[in-house]
Amino acid sequence: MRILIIEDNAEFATGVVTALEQDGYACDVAPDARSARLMLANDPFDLVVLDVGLPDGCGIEVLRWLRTLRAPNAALESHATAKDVPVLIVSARDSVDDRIDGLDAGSDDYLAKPIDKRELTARVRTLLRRYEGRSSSDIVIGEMVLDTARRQVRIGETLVKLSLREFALLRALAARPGAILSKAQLESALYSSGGEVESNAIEVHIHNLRKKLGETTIRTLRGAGYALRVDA
Amino acid sequence: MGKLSIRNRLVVGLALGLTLLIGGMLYVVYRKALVEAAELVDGDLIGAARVAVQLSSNTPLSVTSPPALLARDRYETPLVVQFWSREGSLLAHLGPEVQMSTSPRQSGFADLDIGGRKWRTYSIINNSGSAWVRTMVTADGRNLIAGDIASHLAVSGLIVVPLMLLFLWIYVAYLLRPLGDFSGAIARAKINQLTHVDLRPHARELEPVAGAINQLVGRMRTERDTERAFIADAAHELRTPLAGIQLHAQTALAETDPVRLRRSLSSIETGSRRAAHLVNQLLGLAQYDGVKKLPMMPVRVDAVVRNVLATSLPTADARGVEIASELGANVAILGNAAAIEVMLQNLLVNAIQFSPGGSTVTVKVVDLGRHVDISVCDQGPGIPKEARRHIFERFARMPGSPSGGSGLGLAIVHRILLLHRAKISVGASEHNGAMFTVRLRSTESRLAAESDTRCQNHL
Repeated sequence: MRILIIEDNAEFATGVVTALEQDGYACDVAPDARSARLMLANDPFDLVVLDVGLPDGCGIEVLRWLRTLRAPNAALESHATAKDVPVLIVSARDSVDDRIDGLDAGSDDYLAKPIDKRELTARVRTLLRRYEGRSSSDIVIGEMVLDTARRQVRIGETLVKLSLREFALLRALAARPGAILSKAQLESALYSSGGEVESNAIEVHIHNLRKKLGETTIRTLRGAGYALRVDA
Repeated sequence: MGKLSIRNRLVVGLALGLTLLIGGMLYVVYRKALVEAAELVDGDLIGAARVAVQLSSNTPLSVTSPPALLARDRYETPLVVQFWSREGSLLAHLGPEVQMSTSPRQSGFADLDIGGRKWRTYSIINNSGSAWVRTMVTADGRNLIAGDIASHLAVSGLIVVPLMLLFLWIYVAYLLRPLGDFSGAIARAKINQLTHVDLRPHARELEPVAGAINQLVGRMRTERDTERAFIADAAHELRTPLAGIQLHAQTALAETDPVRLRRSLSSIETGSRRAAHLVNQLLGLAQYDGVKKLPMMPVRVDAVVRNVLATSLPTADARGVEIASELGANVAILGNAAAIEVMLQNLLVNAIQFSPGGSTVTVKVVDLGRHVDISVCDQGPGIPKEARRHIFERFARMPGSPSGGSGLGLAIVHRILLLHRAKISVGASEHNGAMFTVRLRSTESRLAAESDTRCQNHL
């Protein structure tokens, strides 16, 4: 799962990044509205954490642009990130009016600074769960249950121990069971930009997951990517 | 003595004025009454003398003393009528006894002093020319009349003046009632909801006062709103670095990997340093915001710039930025050395922060005679024209600005410049970086300006 953090304060942004990375999310930071638009236009993000006060404009404007596709900049008329991507506003402004403005502009949730790490990650999980159309934190695929809150996987009654990356990979594939994700898409879901990714990292994680969950759990579609096997 | 009330002052003033006026009037009336009474008495004397002449021509005169004509009425003056022979002997005397030995020698009025009493006399010769007739009254009579007229007036004055003052006392209180209502309205106005004070003065004279008060209230409200907005902004600005510290601390607590733990801890350290910097800048701004005037002394510009360069060097070294300076000759300005150092420090740190590694920041001092220009140039991205107007606002931040900035540095610069009545211009340096030029007045120009005005005063 890849999250874009639009925040101009570097310390706070890295705080959010490390908090989310600890939960296995891949993060990118946009320090101003212009780069935020560029990144949203070029990369698909699963969630956006947005600060309202940006040096070159209001975060609310970025949000409106994201929701309506009405670009002030013609070059960015469409974006790779879905129009209805979950947006969580994290703002220093916490008046009721500010919250209403943010929610009405199209954000899905509003958090006022300072924020608790556990609350931040819980809200991110909730927004992703709702976006994926689930009401429970468990993703059930046949015999397998992914507990996204505790980051655990059970098959039947047995608990399977997965590393952070392995869980993140499985979580990405389980977001839309049956969908085929390319190696690049999986890399983007697992690794924050800027970090070094070994070329065969995804293959290694897939191999380990197959060993732990059973060889047939993940299918390889040559040239296209990987998909979770969904039993009827 | 406490503050004088308008009412008391008015009534006391009017009492004094009225008393003086009535006193003056009494004096004038008394003088006038004396004259009138004298004319009246003179008329009587002539009349009486004519009657006596008439009488003496019909009846033979004999020296007899009929009973004195006693004054029965208050204003009935004891009249004395004398008949004298041409030779100078008293032929007849009518009226109270008077020690009078000399005969009249001239016809007409005369004032005589007989035995310590003043007498008014009138003498004529009778028709046959055989005898003198002299009529006389004491001067007391006319004084009595004039005195009575004056005392009647004085008594009515004594009654009228206090009545008038009492009326005034009450009327003034009535007149001043709008003032009381007015102060009541001001007193009832709540300070925490300082709005337009509802002042509807019932006196036209109070309207400008109400207007002035409302203007003052308006100004105070604007100022307070600005202050409030600033405090809110400051709190919000502090919230972000604090929230960052909190997040890093929470991730650090959950971290097991020692490398990542160290990274989180160092983020906490940077975050708290940034927050402390913001607090320092806030305090700096408050320090210069709270004063209207700074103590000014002649300041050697090169010394100040050298100090600032020395303090900024570690920051520049850390970012790999060179600092070049052209300090020129010893120029002095009239200013506050500490404030000018803070101002230049902020400009220089800004320039360093925006400079790419390996570039140069140049500080230049140019002596223009009346002015001294201090410019700070960098080779960074520069400031777009449209942004230049806003950069001195509090918490203004430019896109791409380094994250550690408080957004207050240039606001502090601006405030200090205001206190020095100096100017700043923002432009582009040779390398398309930013160039800030501060123009301060040199000490010589101050002296020249003073002597100029002195010369003009002489003209």
